[in-house]
Amino acid sequence: MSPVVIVICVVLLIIVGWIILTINGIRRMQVKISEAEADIDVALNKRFDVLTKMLDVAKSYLGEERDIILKSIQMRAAMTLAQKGATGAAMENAQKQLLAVGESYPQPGSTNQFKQLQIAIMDTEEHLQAARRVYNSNISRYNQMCVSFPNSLVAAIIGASRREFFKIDESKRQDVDMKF
Amino acid sequence: MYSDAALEQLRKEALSQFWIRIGIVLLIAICLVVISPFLMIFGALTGIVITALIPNPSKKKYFDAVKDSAIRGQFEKAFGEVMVDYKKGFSENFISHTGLLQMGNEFSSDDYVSGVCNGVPFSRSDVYIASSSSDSDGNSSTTVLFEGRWMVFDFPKELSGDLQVFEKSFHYAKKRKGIFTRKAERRHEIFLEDENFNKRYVVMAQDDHDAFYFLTPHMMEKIDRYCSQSDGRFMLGILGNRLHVAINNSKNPMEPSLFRKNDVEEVRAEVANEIALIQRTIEEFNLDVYQ
Repeated sequence: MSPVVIVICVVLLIIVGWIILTINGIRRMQVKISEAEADIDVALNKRFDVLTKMLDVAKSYLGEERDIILKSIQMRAAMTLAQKGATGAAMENAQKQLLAVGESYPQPGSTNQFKQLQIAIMDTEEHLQAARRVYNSNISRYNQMCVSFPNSLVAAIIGASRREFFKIDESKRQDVDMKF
Repeated sequence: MYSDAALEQLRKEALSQFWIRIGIVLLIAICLVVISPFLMIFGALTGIVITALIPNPSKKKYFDAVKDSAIRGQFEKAFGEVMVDYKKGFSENFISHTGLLQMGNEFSSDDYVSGVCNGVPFSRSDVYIASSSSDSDGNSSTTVLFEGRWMVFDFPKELSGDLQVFEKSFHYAKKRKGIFTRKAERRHEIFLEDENFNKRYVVMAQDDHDAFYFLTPHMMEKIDRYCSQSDGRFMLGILGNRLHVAINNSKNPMEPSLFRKNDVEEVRAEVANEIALIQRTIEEFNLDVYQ
């Protein structure tokens, strides 16, 4: 075998190896993004559970508003990222209203259960923030991978394109601003 | 409890005992040099060994008195009931099990204090870890891997895995990321949104979510401030429900010295510094938030 053929083979091998590594890197990032999105779901669900319990504790002070709040924070199956953002904002609003109830009415606000739920809701909020940041951090790394040359060539071949960051829709946040 | 004047008197007694011993050693050496220079070296070595091995009761009495008056008293005043043991510290096994630091072949730990501050249980100890080796020519060398304080606090939140944050200048931190580390214990490096933080610190975690959960932008600022005010290189680790804070400052604080005038005042200042550091750590890392 001539030296030229050997060099060409080695170069080809390097290129193929690099393509495989790049594809694996992109796929791995896609999996990490899916995992991070699932983390957001877990945090939202956890937050919904805690809010539901808080609504139950304060139901006699809320009346019909309880059902309206409950409906606005309901998690639905197969939500898009934007819908998740809107639900997160609705939950945040409901949370503020519930905490205001706790401050206005001494009865539910002073119970141990309500206080524990207040702590739990702060914790779930922190988990949700963390899940969002993990997601956005992964998206940032993934997008950098997709747009930077020569990775962008491989990304284009396998159809990997830039993805949107997770952000809370400010207009949706205004929609659920309910007053007692 | 001794008064300051009584402690100073004890220090002077211990110091004179020390000089008497040195004098005896020199006297033996001078006597032996008359007989033979070789015997002088032998005599001096024997004298040094005798000085080191035979305990100086005055020195022990002085050290115990200072530690009882300055250390125990001040810690009790600040935190109420505390457990103080000057001779004991964290065990080698305990530090090794954290997996935060490279362990050499020399280990010592003393000045153990445990108690409760603002409802948060804590313990602290001075730790020294070094690695000694000798080459084929018989030259020995010692590398100090860690010398400073190690503090452990109850941590109010639950993380799913280990989390480690340390300054890049903190050498000999153990990262637990190699292929030889068991998968269940393996950590990986995390890069946060704050570029400045990434430049100054290394964050290792078993789970990305834990790192982002604990290291909020506000917490990153706090860590940076805490480090800037520390007198050494900083590392923290969250393992289970414990927060470990290690500050490598090449010092063994709260140690009395026979050669310092007004030594008790210096030791008291160091103890006050340790107490303030424990309180600041609890405050900065929100450890008392659920108390």
